[in-house]
Amino acid sequence: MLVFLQLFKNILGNVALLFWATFTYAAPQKIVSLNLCTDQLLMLLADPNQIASLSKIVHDPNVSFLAEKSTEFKKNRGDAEEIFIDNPDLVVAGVYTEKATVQILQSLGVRVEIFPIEQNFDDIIQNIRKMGLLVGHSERSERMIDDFNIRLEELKSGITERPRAAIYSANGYTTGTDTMSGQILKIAGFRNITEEVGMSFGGTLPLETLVMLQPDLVITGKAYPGHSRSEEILKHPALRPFKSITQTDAKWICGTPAVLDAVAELQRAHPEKGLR
Amino acid sequence: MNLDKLSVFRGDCPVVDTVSLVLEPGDFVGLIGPNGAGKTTLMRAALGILEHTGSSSLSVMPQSDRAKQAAWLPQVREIAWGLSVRDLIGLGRLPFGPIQKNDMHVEAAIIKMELNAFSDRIATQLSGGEQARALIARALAQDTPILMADEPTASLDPANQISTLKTFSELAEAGKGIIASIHDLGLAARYCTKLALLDRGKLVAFGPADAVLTPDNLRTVFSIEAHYEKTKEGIIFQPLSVLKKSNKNSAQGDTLK
Amino acid sequence: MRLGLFLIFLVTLLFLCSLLIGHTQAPLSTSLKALISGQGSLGTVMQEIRLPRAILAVLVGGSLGLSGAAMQGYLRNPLAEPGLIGISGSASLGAVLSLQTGFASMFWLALPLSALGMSIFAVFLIILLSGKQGRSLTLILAGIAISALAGAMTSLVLNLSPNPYATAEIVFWMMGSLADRSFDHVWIALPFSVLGAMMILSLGPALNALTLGEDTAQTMGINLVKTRYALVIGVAAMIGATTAVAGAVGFVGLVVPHILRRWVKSQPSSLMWASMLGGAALVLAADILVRLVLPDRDLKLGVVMAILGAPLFLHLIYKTRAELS
Repeated sequence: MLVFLQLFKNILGNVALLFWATFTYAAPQKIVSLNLCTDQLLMLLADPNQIASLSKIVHDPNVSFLAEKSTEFKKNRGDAEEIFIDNPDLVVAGVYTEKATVQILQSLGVRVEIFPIEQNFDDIIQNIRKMGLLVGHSERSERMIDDFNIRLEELKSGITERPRAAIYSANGYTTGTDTMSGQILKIAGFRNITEEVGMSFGGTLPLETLVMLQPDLVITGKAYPGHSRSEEILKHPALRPFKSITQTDAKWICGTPAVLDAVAELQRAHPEKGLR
Repeated sequence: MNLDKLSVFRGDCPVVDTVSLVLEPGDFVGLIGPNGAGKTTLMRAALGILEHTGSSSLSVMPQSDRAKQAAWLPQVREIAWGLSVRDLIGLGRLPFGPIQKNDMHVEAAIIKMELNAFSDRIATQLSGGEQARALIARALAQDTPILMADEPTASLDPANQISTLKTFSELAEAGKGIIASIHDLGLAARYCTKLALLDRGKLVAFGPADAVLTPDNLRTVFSIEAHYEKTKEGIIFQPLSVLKKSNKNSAQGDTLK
Repeated sequence: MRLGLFLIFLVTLLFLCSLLIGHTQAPLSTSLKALISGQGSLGTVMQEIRLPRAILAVLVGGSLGLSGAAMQGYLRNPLAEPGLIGISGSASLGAVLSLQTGFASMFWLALPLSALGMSIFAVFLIILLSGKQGRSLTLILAGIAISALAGAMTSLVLNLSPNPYATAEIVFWMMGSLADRSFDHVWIALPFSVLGAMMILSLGPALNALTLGEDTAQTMGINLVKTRYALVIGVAAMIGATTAVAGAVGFVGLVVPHILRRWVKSQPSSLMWASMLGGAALVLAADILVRLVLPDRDLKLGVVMAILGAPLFLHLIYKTRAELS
C-alpha cells in the first residue's frame, strides 16, 4: 500500500514539476550536485555558470568520463554544512546519497531533487529529461534524447547472432541483465551468461561455474592502481583460455549518452559488428 | 681436565678469579664455598658455555667433542616436556648420533639410579627426588670421562642425598673425574676425594678434607665453627655456631650473588 | 611410525576430498579423469582451480603445524604459535607492503621475500623478548604487542592504497583464505616453504636436547646460536611464503602440536614431523569445511581455526596460569 502511495506521490510530483516548469519556471542559478551521475548530467545540460559545485569523486577518471571537464568546477565533500553555507537554490542527488545529508538540507529549506538509478535505456531518457527541466534547458535535453534514440537504433541494427558473454569483476562479481551494464551488453548484441544461471541483477559467480559455462567472451573491468586480492581472480590462469576484453570503465557507470560509446566500443568484439 | 688461570668477569668485577685446578680420573672433587663464591660460574666456564679468560682443556675442544668428554647437571632441574623416563635418559646419547632402542648405556644408567620401576613413567609427573635421579641417570648415560654437577643434592631427602653422592664416588672409583658443588660440608667431607674451597672467586684451598676444612678456613670463609672428627665410620663434620660477623667475608660474599 | 602412516593416509584422503568439492558437481571418476587429462572445462576446473587450492592447503597447514611445533620446542612453551605471537601478522604486513608498493611484481620471489623479511624481524624479537626460560607471560605479552602493531600497520597500508578494494581486504590478511588461488601462488609459496621445512626438520636433535634447558643442551653438543638462526630463518621462510599467498591463519600451530604431543610421547623431534602432517590435514579439512558451510561467502579459514583453537588456547592458559601469575 505504502509503495503505491509513494509511487503516486512521485508521479504527481513529476507531473507537477513538468507543469510548473513549463509555465513559470525560473531556472536555478546555484546548483550543487552530490552524486557522480548527477554531476555528469549537470555538466552536459546546465550552463557552466549555473553549477555551484560537484561531488569530489567526479574528478577521478576511473569512474567519471567527464573528469577532465570537471576540473573547471568547484568540488564538495558532500556534507550538509559545507553545502548549506554555499546557499544553493537547487541540490541534485542520487538515491544512494547519504540520507541524513538530504534530510537535513531539506529541513533547512534547501530544495533537493533525487534522481533514481537507471536500470535501462528508458530510465536514462527519463533522467536526461528531468535534468533538462530542472536546469531550465529542456531544448538541450530533448535534442540530446533525439540524438540518443537515433544512435541507439543504428547500434542495434544488423545483429542476428548473440554470442554468450559474461561481465566479470573483482571478487568474482558478475552483472546481470537488469542493470545498466547488462543493458549495454544486450544492446551491443551479446547474451548475458547470467540468464543461464538465473541472476537478473548479478551476484558472485564462482570461478568454477564461469569456467564450466564456457562463455564466448569475458568482459573484465579495468584494474585499479595499487593491488587487491579481489582483482587477482581476473588474472587467474583458469580464465586464460577464454577470449577476454577489458572494457568496463567510466562510461559504464552512469546513465548518460556516453553509454552508447560504451556499446560501440563493446561491439568491436562482436562478430557481426566488429568487422566494420 | 685442566684449568689454568681461569677468570670470568661480570663487568670489571671478577666472579671467578684466576682459578687453576687439575681434575684427574678417579677424583671426586667437592666444590665448596659460601653463596655467591662463584661455584656455578666456575663450572660453566670450565665447560665452555660461559665467556672466560685463561684456559680450560674442555672449552678449547670443538663442541661435539666436548660433549663426549664432559656431562653437565645444572642445578635447575628443567624437564620441559612429558617424556618417559627412559626417553629422557636416552637424551644423554644425543652426542653419539641417533638414539638406539635398548641402548646399553641407557639401561645401565637406569639400573645404576634404581629407576627400573619408573622407566615408563612420565618424567614431569615424578616427585622432585625421582626427577633428580632421572636427570642424573641422563648425565650418566652420556658416559663421559668427566661429570660436573651443580648442587646435585639440593632439595633431596637424606637418603637420596647419601645415595647420590655414593653413586658419584663409585663412579670416581671406576675412573671418572667428577666435580660437584655441594653445600653440605659434612657430606662433602665424607664422600669427596678432594675438596676445592672457593671464596669470592678465588680458589682458597684444594686438597683432602682435613687440609681444606681447617678451623682457619672455616672462620675466614664461612664464619663458622665446626666439629671435625675422623672416625672409622668416616669423617664426621658438624657446623656448630656462627661467628660474630666482625669480618667482612659474608657481607662481601652476598654482594656477589 | 604408525601415527605417521595414519597421518599420511589422512592427508591423502582429505587432499582427494578437497579436489572433489566445489561448485561444479561431477562424478568421482569423471573428476579424476579430468584432473589427469586436463581436457575440457572440467579439466581446467580440476587442474587450474582445485589442484592449486588443495596443494596450497597442504603447504599452508604443513608450514603452520611445523612452525608451531618448532617454536614450542625451542622456547619450551606450548603457547608459542606463529599466528598468536605475531609472526604471521608481520608476514602479512611484509606482503601487503610489497604488493602495494609494486615491489612484489618486480620479480618472482619478491613477494615471499618481503613477507619473510618482516617475519624474521618478528621471530627475532619474540626470541629476544621471551628470554632464556621461554616464560609464558613475556612470550604472550610480546606476541600481543607485535600482533597489534603488525595488524595496525597492515590496516594503515591498505587504507592508504589507491585501490578501492584494498581496504575490504584487511580481513583477508588477518584471517586467511584459499579461495580462487592459482598455480601462480603455489610457485610463489613452494620454494621457501620447502626450504624452510628442511631447515627446521634438521633441528630435531637440538630441540630434543633443549628439553633439558639451554645449558644442558650446549653440553650435549648442540650449537645454540646455529639452532637459533636456523629456527628464525626456517620459521620466517615458511610463514612468510605461505602468508604471502593465503593470509594469516591462526591457531593451527597451537592446536595441532597440542593434540599430537601425547601420540609422539612428547618427543619434540617426532612432534615436528607429526605436526607438519597434522597441520596439512587440519587446513585441508578447514578449507573443505568453509566450502561446505558457506559455499558462496568465502568464509575465512582463520574463522574456523579460531572457533576450534581459541577454547584450546584458553584451556592452555588456564593450565599454565600458575606460571603466568
